[in-house]
Amino acid sequence: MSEERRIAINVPALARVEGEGALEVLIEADRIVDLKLRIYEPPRLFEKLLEGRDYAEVPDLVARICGICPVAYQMSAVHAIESILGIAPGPWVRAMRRVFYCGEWLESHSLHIHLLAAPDFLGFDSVTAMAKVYPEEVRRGLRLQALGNELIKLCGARSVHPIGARVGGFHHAPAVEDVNALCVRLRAALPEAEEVVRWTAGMDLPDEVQGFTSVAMRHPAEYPMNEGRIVSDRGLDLDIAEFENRFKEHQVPHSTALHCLLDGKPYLVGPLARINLNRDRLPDAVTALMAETGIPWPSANMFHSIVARAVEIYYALWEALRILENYRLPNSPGTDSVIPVAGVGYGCTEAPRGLLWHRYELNDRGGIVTARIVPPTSQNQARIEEDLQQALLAVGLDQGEDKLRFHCEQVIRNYDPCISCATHFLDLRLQRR
Amino acid sequence: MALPRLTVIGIGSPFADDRAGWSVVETLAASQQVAAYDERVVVTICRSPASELLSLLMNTDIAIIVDAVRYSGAPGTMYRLSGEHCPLPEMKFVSSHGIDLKTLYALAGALGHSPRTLIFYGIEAGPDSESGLVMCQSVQRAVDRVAEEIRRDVVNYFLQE
Repeated sequence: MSEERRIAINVPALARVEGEGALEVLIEADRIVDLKLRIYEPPRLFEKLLEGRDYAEVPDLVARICGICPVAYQMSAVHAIESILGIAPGPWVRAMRRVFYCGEWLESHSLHIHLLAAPDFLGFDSVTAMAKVYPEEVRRGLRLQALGNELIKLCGARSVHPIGARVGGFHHAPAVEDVNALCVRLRAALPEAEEVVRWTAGMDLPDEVQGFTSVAMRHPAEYPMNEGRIVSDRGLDLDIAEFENRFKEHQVPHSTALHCLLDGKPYLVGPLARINLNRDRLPDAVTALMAETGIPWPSANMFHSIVARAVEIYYALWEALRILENYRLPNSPGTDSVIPVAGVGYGCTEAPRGLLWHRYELNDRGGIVTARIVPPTSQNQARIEEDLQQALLAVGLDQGEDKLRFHCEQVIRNYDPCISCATHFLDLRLQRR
Repeated sequence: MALPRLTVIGIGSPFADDRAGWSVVETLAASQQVAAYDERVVVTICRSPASELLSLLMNTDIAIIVDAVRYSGAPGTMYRLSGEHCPLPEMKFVSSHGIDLKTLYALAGALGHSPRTLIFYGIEAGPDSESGLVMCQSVQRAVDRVAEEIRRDVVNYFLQE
């Protein structure tokens, strides 16, 4: 006898981040007939909002796209615009932009691991319940998150929607005493970050190996943040200006969020993809700790993403220390002499959730003619759907409603998607025919 | 014995009626009456509850929170919630971008650092609450009323101590 189950998983609207999502799965007998991650979040039209604005306004405007990863939007934007204007901000700015980014990885990853993902793997329905059993672990996560916020504030004047970055550099150079004080805290946090790696690697993570393409930036010498080429583990090696030749965004009827495909196929961006492609760019202290986890990197288990985030927390501390322990006040925190020119430029950096690609066209007065922004969550959407298909089959379609729903939630959360309202509370309605 | 700490937290953004919480805090920051207790009273704005509010809650004895709300009243309607079972506003889920006050308060409690007193003031926002930079007049008047209420809370609290 064949059994058909219709599963509709609805996500209610989230205050301050308007949006609505649902997961619809149609199962007939032993196969998934249809699976759609529906995203109803209204388009925000930021790209059109940027048109007509002066190039100098862009960093502050794009910072408003996301409260958790504003640095990423600012960094992709300034690099793109600087490439048009022929600005080379110099080594001080370059180094401090990495510090800025370290702060964002630290803040974003710590929040996701401790408040959102860990309860899934430790058997709790919320961080509040988890905190009663693991209070010190949660406090540790909050301390690391706060430290990330401090790093962002050091460079950006405030941690939420920072205002310190500009085309050409920064508006302000941090005082030496502030940097020194932060270095003490960063060094003191290293053992805590080590423990986060061990803690996440020791969790009972589902053992689900999948075939997927990892895509990330790659730099000749550094673990990628602001610069590099776009590479994959299937041989892709692309200048960022050629992104549109291989990566195509398209609309799907069931989602207001665009899906982006690489040569017509889903792919993964984010911490796991970065580590899969760039672990040889990590310092010895980090790779030694990774070896200790026993995880065979590169990993094809998407659930190792939580460990990858923890590894990047540890790396971000080391990288910020490497730069800040040699900090010197610059003559100027940025380039001031800018002559507007017309042109097209590209910026691609590694946001906490993965590749963030920008393209701007400027007129000869420095005004934005067109803008295009491809965020990581757009790139991961098709992969999430693909993952859900495989994960449901792995867990078994004959499982009960609660188990299927929980597993779907776990899979979606594991990507830390920026359409966050679509990911944490799935209201399952099951119809059987 | 350490002095008790009282923190007034205005939640919001720079935009229209959503600015109400920040405006209350700015009014209080300029108040001589509140400043008289400056060693024990902190007034601060909060841009992102998800990343900033928890540490504020975990480091104070008394928390007074002000935010724009959408409930059922006319724009500018003031709501005051307090007491042991303060029915805090709640969202149905948590994300890295938005964590509701009720969850944060419960989390602070689970970690053993919740404020012993929590008072929440809500100011009903108008229908066009997030566009532009100017609050509607009803909300502006409510800002002044709420600031006065909080001044009274602060004075009463320290008179009781």
